[in-house]
Amino acid sequence: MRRDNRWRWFFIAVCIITAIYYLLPTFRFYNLSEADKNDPNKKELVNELSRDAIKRGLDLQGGVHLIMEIDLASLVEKLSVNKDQRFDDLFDSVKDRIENENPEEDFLNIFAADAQAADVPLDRYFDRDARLDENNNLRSIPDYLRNEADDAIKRSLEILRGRVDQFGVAEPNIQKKGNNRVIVELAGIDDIERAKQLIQKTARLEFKLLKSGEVVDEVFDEFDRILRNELKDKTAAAETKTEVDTAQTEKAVSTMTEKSIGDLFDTGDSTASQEEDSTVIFDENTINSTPFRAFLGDLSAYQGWVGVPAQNVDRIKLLLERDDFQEAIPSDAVFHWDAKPQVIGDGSEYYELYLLERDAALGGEVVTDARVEIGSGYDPTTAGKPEVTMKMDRQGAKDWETITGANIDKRIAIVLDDKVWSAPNVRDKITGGSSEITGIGTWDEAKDLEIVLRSGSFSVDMLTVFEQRVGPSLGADSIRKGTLSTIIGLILVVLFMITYYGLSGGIANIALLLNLIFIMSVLAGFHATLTLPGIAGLILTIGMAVDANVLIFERIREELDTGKTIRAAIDSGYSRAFFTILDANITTLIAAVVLYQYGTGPIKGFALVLMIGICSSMFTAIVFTRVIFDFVTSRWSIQKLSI
Amino acid sequence: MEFIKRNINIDFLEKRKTAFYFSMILIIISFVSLVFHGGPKLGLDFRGGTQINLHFDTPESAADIRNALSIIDLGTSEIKEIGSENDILITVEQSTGIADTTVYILREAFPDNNIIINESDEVGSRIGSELKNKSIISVILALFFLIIYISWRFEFKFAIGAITALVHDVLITIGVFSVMDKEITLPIVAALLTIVGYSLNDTIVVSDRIRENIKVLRKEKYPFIINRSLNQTLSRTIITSFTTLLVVIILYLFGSEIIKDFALALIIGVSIGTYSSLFVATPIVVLYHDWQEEKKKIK
Repeated sequence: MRRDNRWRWFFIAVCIITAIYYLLPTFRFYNLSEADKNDPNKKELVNELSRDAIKRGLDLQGGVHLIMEIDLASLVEKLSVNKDQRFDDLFDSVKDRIENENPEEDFLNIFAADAQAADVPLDRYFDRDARLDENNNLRSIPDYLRNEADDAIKRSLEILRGRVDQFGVAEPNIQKKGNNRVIVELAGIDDIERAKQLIQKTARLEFKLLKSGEVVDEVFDEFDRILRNELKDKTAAAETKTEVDTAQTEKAVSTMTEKSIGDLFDTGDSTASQEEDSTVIFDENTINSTPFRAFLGDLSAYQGWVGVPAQNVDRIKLLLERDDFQEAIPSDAVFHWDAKPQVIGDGSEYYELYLLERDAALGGEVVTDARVEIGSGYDPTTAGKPEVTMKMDRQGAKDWETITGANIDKRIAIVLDDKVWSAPNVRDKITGGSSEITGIGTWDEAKDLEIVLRSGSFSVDMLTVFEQRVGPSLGADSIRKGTLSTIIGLILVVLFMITYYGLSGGIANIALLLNLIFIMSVLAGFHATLTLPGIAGLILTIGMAVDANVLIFERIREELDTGKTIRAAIDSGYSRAFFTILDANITTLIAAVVLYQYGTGPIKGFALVLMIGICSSMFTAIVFTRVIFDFVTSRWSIQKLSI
Repeated sequence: MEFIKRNINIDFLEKRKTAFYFSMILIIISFVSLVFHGGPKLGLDFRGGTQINLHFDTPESAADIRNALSIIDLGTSEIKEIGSENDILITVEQSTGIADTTVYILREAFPDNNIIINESDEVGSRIGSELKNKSIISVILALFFLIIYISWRFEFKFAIGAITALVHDVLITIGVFSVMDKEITLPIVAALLTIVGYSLNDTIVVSDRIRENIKVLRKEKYPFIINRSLNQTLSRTIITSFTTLLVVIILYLFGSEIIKDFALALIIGVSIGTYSSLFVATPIVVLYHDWQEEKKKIK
């Protein structure tokens, strides 16, 4: 007996020491002062400690958890060529089905199945060359699409990692989930809004040429014509353009007045009725002749660019979406807005409206590097303000030289995600492949632009399907509440055990404390994450861990009743209770394992703690307390067992 | 110290009729409530939508907030205080990008008030239904494995008794949640699975004792053996339930909102679980046993 126990003591000692070893970093890490954390000399130490300490889940330290999904529908749309009505119908019907009926269905599966059912020959709509794999075999359409989706996800993962890396998050968690999804979890960051923007931005960069003034005039003339018919006050509608022009240029000061839309126009359609009460400012002198242009600022003093007063932007946007307005826009042109408002002399804000070539002259893939700089030079609009300088690859630089060379004295817009950041005038052809984005507001914004430009843009649309944000104060609050509950729970159970089972209860309590240490050290050792449900699991384990001990103690009491000696009773108690404990705990273990498999983040944390706790409590109840009992009864001759 | 006297002898089986009525009443109430509400009230995790938990330095009324948000179309929305009067929970049906817009509008509407996002969740409806299916599968799987395990370790009739008690416990817990108009969220599903494991814990301890007593008390009648086993394990059953309830009540009192609901599920589950181990599982076992005996006689 003695022999056995020596080994057991040894084993227990090893366990305890290992546990403490794994827990030490946690203890040290959370005892670091703020000063220590910021001390550059201690940086390596801090990083090491934070890596080995118990990780706090999102709900305990704040942060953001995003699940983004490839928009498969848009991927199919992008990859398809030669689209005709048949294709469009099929596409729309599948999209409809998924949105309205079965949101869990996979777009690609349904698309392929429906195409087959409707006898639509998909071969016609996808580029044959693109479908060849490394061995020059032709992939089937579903395989091809699936492959493209996989590639897109891989690229997205890289892009996300690049962005998050540059943003400087301590321990980001970015991984693929299932076929089409990516999880991004950033814990412990302060500026969640900024991080989100950074992650979700598509960041499609394009260089587009502006359409000439004549084309713009034609389009605006048409807009004017359409709106003239809707004016409430249809008097004095000037017919000829030249009349309008002279009328405008004669005015030294244009009179801008404010009115509500309902007063100006017959708002017949329902979409406009929401806006009836909103006010717009317009030029009174020209409202009847050129009602559209009247909403634009009179900025002829500013070299004729089209600026829309901030107040009118929403209204103009609505107008531009109308079918009749859309038809007036040439098919090779598109309107894009300023990303940021421009402020002119009197402090009022304007958004410039650009008519651009629909197809980009140069795409963002040519940009190899981007850097934030402070504008130098004498131009007051850029000096001293942050700007982002971009460098292009060789081919891109060559193309850029060609494009700028062919468009001297014209403007080229730098468009990011369909918003124009700047549209400088090309003074000279640009060699060396560089260009700048100016007009950025703050250093942070410039930094973020630098990051997304460096990391590249998503080649497919990514939809955010799940987002959870936890503020840091809530996280700290949860920890506090969790710790408080654990301590109170622990005290109560400990008191109870001593009261009910006397000194044996005390032994059980030591086992309980060992349990907690073991659980925490396993969490630390496996770099598992502690979540709020995990803390709940810890507390639950405190309540349930006693069970094994209770089973044994009750048995021992029974055996004592039958008149056995103390040592015999202890022996019997342990051996009889053993299988019961095993069976009972295994069932809870099965439930915990299933929960771990199928649960999500925080629930996984709970299940993990439960599993570790069950195993640990079995160990401490059966091995540890036994060893203590043996020690006590062999060392001293006990007359009556305090149990 | 002892709560339960060593030679206690309650006739549990005799009380089974009363227990049956009691259980039936609870189950019927649960059923009625569930049917009335069209199923359990699903939380955000399962039905999709947006939930924003905001902290206002100066409390604003829910009515004022609703007013401020009326310029965007929120669909069906719920705005209520949570925890304290400074914390507001806004629940909305839509799930794309609405959280940012909502906070922006509120900050514009109450410019002198400092509004902090405590927590915000946006769950797309696709993910929601996926999670729902996953949860259902996990509960069914757990039950499946457990039936197999118990049938292997004990006789099949114990498995039947155990599962009946289990289903009884889970059903009543969900029913109480339905009556109290509380949501079933992921943590609640976790609580239910814990209750499953825990309830089985109890049943196994009793079944184990019954198995042992059958060998020892060979001469006695079956119901007597059952009662004896129940009485012998009563002390342990009460103590374990007591300590578990103790810590769970602490969780309920001191935990955050999510933990409160989680703890409540456990309180209900553990209490009903203890009751069912004593008064529901074993009568089923006895019934099955009698049925088996009848079949033997007929042969």
